[in-house]
Amino acid sequence: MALIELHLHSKVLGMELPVNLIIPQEKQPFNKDKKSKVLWLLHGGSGDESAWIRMSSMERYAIEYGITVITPGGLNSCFTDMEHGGKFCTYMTEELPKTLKQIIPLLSTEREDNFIAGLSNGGYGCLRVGLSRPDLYAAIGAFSAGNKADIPFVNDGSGKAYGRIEVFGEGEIKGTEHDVEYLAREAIQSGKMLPKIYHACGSLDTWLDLNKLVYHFFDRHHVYDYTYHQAEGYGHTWDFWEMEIVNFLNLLDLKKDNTSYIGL
Amino acid sequence: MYWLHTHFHSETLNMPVPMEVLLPESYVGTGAKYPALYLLHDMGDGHTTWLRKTNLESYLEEFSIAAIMPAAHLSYYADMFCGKKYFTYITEELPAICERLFPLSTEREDRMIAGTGIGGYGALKAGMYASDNFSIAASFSSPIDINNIAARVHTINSADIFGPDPDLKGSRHDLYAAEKIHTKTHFYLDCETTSEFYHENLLFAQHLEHQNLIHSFIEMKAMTNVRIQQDISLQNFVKWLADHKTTVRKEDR
Repeated sequence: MALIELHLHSKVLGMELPVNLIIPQEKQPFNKDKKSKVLWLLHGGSGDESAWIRMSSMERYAIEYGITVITPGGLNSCFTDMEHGGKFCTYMTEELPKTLKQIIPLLSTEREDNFIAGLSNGGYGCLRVGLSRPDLYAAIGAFSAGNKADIPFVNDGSGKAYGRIEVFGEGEIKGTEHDVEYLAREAIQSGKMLPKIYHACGSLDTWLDLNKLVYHFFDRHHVYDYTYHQAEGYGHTWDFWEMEIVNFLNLLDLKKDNTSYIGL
Repeated sequence: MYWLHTHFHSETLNMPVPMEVLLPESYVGTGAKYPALYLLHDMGDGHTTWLRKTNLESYLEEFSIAAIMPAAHLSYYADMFCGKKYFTYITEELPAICERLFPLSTEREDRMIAGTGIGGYGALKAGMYASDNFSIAASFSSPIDINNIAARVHTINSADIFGPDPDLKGSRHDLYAAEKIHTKTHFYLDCETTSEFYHENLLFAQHLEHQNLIHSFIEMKAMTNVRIQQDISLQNFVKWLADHKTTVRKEDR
């Protein structure tokens, strides 16, 4: 229907944060019973809720694939429950879906209609959020991701070290809720249906090694429907993420429909 | 309060348009649908004016009503003679889109329209000519007389909006010319007694009386500033709306 910049107060975070929604606009007359599938799309460390909208052709893809795209703002949280800050994973999984269902009822809340993806810190974030709640999302698309728990903790007094402490606390985070591997194992143990995972990284990405560690983990855990794509010649850049979001959408079994929506 | 700054496409206008939407949080979790107030801006203003220049949000929060603020550009809320069909857009397409997108009640009783200045003229016109869609139509300090309204617009623009005929009495732009008005429509007019439009409002209130149409005419004290005037009008109206809805609900029981 629209591009909406939604400003709302979060009880979980205790503050007001914006969320953007791209809702493919149906041609009139409307089918009042039709629900929209939802792609939750997370920004990276230098982005905010407007990043995907400004830096990619996301609205065009939303219309082509007939899917609502929700880009929440996550500040510098990596969308985890911060040790010294907001509980962004809780906000993403417990508060936001409930709130949005109330104010935009055409959004589907069925697991099979909900997908989550993200880039860089949001790539980690979508694994963090998606694996902690396998009951909410049918698929995860992680681009230039990496598991934050694979990065050794070093407190050298730098801004970077301070940033890590703020989000993940002091010390190693292996085996905690910030650890993708821990969450992935917990999800298996829960016996719940597991999300399909699409993981991609450019061969020139500075953090390629971290992505390979994630790949090796899932390669050892065949219970996951996991695909890894290493894109040769690509770095940590928007041309790569733009290509990968389309690859991810193509995996989702969405019917391309150029007759129902305005804008094509 | 949820504030939704929205861009969408109007098929009626055949172009993208913006709107501002406010949804009070008090409804969340109740499963109830929002009553919706369509708030129209004056010419020269835009869809953000109500948000920026009044205390709209606090009034809505107190009385739990959703507000939809569309842009009407320089249309005078008309299906223009040489231009786009803004009246159809505002009175038909906009509610259809908003009711598809947001949890708004689709009952006529829960759809209300109001405006200030020309926005009020537009709202009254919706109450007159689209009375099946709105249960309450309200104007704040609005001009009423169509010939006077057109006379204040540059001749060329006036022809594009209202057509070339200098006498618009009896035309579809004339608030006096409407027929087949839903008998349960409630018209609400307010005007400062010192306003240049006071006499027009007074005559119109008498006309509504003669037509046996339900109406309220509020004589306002003049404020020093038009924005303060607009804000007080809005506050009074939203409060009136809340009381009115309570009364109507009691009567229905």
